Amino acid sequence: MTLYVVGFVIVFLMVLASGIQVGFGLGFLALGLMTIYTDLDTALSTGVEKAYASLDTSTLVAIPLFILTAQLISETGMGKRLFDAAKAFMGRMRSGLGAATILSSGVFAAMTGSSFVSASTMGLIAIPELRKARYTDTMIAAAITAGGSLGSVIPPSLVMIVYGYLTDESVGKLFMAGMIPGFLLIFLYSFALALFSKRPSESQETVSEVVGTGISVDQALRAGSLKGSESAIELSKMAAMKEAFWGLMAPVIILGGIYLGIFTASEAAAVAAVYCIIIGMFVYRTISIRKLWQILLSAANISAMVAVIVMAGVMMGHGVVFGRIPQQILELIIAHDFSPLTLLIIVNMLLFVMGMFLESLSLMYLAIPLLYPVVLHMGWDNIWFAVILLINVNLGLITPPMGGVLYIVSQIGAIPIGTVIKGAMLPVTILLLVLVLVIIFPAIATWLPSLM
Amino acid sequence: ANEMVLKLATWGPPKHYVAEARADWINEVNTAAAGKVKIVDYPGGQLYGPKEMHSAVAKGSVDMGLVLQPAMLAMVPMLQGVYLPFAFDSIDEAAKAYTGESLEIIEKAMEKKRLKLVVISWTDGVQMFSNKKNIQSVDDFKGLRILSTSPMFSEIMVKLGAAPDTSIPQTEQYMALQRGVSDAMANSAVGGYFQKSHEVAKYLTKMDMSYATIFICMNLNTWNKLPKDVQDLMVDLGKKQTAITLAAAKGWEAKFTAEIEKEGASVTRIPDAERAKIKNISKEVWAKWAKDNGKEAQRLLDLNIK
Amino acid sequence: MQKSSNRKFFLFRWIDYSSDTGGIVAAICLLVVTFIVVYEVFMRYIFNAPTTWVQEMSIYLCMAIGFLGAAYALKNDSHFSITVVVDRLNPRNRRRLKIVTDFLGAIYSFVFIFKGMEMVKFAYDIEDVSTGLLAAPLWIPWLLVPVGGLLLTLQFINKLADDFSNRPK
Ligand code: NA
Ligand code: NA
Repeated sequence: MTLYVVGFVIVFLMVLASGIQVGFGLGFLALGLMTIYTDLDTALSTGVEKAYASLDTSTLVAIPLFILTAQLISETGMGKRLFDAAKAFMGRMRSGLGAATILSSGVFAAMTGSSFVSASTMGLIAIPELRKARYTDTMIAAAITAGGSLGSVIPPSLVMIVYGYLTDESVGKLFMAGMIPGFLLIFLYSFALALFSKRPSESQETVSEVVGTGISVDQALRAGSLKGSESAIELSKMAAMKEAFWGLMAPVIILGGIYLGIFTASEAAAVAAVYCIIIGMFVYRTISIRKLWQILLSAANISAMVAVIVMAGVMMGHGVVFGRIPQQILELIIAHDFSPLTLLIIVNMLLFVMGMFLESLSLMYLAIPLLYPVVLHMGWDNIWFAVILLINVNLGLITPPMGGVLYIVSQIGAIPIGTVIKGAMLPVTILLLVLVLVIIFPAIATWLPSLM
Repeated sequence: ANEMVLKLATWGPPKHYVAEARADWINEVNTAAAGKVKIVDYPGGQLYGPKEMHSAVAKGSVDMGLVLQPAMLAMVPMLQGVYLPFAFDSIDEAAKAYTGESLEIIEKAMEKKRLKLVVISWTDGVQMFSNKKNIQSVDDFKGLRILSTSPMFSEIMVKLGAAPDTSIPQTEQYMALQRGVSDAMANSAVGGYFQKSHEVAKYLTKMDMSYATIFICMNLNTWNKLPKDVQDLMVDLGKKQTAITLAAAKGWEAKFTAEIEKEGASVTRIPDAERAKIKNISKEVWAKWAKDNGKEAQRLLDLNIK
Repeated sequence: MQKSSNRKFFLFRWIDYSSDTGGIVAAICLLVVTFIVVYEVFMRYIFNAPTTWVQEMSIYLCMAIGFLGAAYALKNDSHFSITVVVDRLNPRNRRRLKIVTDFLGAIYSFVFIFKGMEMVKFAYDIEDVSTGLLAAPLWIPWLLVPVGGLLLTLQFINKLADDFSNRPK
């Protein structure tokens, strides 16, 4: 058994390292794994059948819709306006820009579902501004990787949708479970960024131009010279708020709609996308039909990539189960009679290590079939465990060697990967802290869903 | 010896009487047919869930599987003939439909889809959970947004003036009832208790719309490879489990109805006269189904409806 | 990019068009899904008349996005891969490894063509239909599998052709 597992891990890492597209490599490996337990023909039939079935579910309809929404938020300029509004409010505080990045990432996260998408979108919007304010590359990386991780913690969340799909848990309840940890993260990230980053130098403008209105602090100061600087900032805040209003309404509509029973958590994704299309075309007038078409193409492109990973992940899960590997793990655990705490620590270490080598969807598809029987056996709260897994997935995105968010931030910000990793230590530390808090005080995760 | 290993894919909670009866059946078969066949259970929906099971077994992706009868109605339409909503007044009446000529017709229909029906298990009657009020009369159905999965059930609900809703996936149904996206759902008392339907839809109206069965099915090619004595053994031991689950269904329904009531839900029974009205309205829908599905379907209807 | 595609043999250009077509169909499906889900919410909440077809149809459309868009994503090199190790290899070895991985990708995709066709035939023969109110004949959505597999296999062949023609000096 041990030899077999070691062998599999080595092959697995070799396939990943070969530079093959992860979705195809994982799928290929899954087919290979199945041939160990059954004949080639059955293995291939079962693999293809599982690939089909993996997409044949209404739960996953939300995935392309959330991807589309994220693209729309970025392309309509809604994201930029949210960032500007956050800057207007936080800019004058010590290291306000870092906090503004976190805050606008938080609002952005309430509209879309993935940490990876959040980090890349917020990176495009915020990195130039942070650089202008003379933030060091390390602190830029810290702010973007931290803000990005909110994407899947604050609802809506793809990780939670997939978790609900794989364990038959209510996605609505899972969404609620991310709320308090999300706010906790916003608070801790903002606080830590303020603590660790130097105050941007005085010569730098702290409130820069608001897109669309053309009103900046300087202009406002000149125009309203009689009122003095205090009111000038107020005016800018008003203008920024006005611009960001439609963006700020989006999470209100999404979460309000779910809460009032107008639509389900998965339907919210479509409502959000249509809302963004309407605002972009008729209010901000930032997207044309042609632009919309490009956005659709690009969202379809990303969705197809995700679908390939989902298919491979489900095939892999099937292969693992076919070999009765989860049962063997469970038997091992029962035989050793671990205490719940020991077991929890082992599970978390396992997740942390798996997260180092896997991107988030593959991690979920591998970890859930392996660990869910353990959750059931131990009688752990499914929602609590979902939050633990969620935090680990986010850790996985920002830990080397395979951290999707690390690479995207390095790419967008033209920051050496080593520096990005250094910066990511800040969110890693805070995520670990929140993980420990959630383990000690499960209510952080389970209290809100229990009210539903 | 050439012992044949049969993979059996199952789903559902392990402590349910259906799961316990199945575990006994597996043990009995494995003991009696030792050296010839060995059934290995893959529980908890690990391999396939209820939605995809029948086609996985039909394709031979797994040797045997636990099939939810209502989920297979689309693939084997003839099965509707023993699952007609509001047709059977008691579980014993419904159980009669799984005997004699009626059983032969559905077994033949399943074999055409490369499925061998091996064991039948019973679950308790399907009732109505609502978050609005208990159903007193046919008029109470008007405008009710009822979560539905079955086409025939939906048709009957439309005739009653309700708005059957198939748009909400199972995982979202709890939230949908709780937040008022939907008003009601059809579920058995036992199923409702375990899925906590009574927490979000506190008005349980007993009306015994239908009785869902759960089958252990085998791929027909695999079945034909088994020695005759093993085939007979499986079926005979299966009949024992059918009887056990039929009794357990009644016992559990009474037990969990009481539990639901104890946890604060309002439990009533629809007046007989009103149920008779629904039954009358349903007749048109059954007749239409029989007409659309040929003379075997008409024969099933004649055999099972008095 | 433009230059190299002009130089391409017509067959490989045609393969790129086939991938693009898949991408375009996927984008249209995405637009349709977005609006029909909102239509469903609208019909249910405002008119108390939930539709019988949106849930199922939106699943099939999303499957179409995945199966038909995969080759388009491959053409655009959008599929996620880990390049840390590969980046450290010399160009000659990198090319060799690329040929191997593209070949594996082609085999994997080919499995979807022939097994997909088998499943289409199976669903057609036993007249399998969906459990929902649509009662859609399942061979139709199953057709997405071999078609998607075909687009992918062709695009992998295209990539292989690129690999072979870009011989390092
Ligand atoms: Na989110
Ligand atoms: Na990682």
